[in-house]
Amino acid sequence: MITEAQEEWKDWNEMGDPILHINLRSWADLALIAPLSAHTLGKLSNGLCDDPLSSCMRAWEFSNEKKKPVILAPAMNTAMYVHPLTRMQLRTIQGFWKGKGDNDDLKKDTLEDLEYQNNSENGVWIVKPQSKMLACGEIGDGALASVEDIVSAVEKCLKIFYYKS
Amino acid sequence: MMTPPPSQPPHSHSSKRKPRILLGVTGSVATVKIPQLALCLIEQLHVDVRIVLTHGAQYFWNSSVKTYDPISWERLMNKWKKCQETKHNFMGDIKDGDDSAEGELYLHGKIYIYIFIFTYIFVLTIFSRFSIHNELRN
Repeated sequence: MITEAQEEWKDWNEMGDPILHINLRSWADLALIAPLSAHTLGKLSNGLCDDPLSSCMRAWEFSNEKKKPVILAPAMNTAMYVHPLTRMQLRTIQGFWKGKGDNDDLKKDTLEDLEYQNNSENGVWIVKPQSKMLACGEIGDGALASVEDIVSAVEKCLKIFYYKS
Repeated sequence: MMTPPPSQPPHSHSSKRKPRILLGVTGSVATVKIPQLALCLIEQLHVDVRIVLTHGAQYFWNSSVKTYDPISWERLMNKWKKCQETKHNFMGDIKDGDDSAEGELYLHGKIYIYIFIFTYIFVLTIFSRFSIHNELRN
């Protein structure tokens, strides 16, 4: 199934009809957002929801019994990636797992530290971008992680949060 | 590191159904890698996948994604076609005949043939009556 952004209310005509973003949320065991653009990162951390993906993530279960893991694989220009907002917003989303608006447990405050939170204690995982020649011609951090790295993160995450529960 | 395809699906150690992954894709040039990623998830991890595109992602999806990796694109589109035919709401390892929806399609096909034959006979009858009527008038 491939859902496009304008399909949010395509099948909804009257009360009682299914609501796409809620169905997506209930169906999924894990959300993987790859590539995660700077724009969607900003939307998710601030709770904006104007398309099926951001609405589904706004409706994501972070309550104790039904918590479902999320994996984020950011991809953007180097300057955009090292901008303080990236770190703040990723940290905010990681904090949702603990029912907080912020990930205060993080003592150090660098982008690398965020990835160390990929464990059984925190179900919002970050797959760090690669450093290479980017689409804009610049060389640096911000290229989407390799397919191998993303698949391996999903596999580990499922083992911890899906198969063990 | 990419794990080699397991001899047994990873869910075999549990009686649970296959894991379901919502794959959100946003606007980035890296969108070109997504067909390959989706196929790896489906074939190596044996999960069911639904792809949700943002407006930004659609721009790349409908232009450069097809041409960047046409083989993966074609294979993913085949999976999507399969999921539409069998009325599954996800893309995964959907095997032939693992859903009754296929039987329904077959039945629908038969009904169309019956309707066609019935209409054909009906039209023939009307036409022959009409021509007989005309001959009698002459």
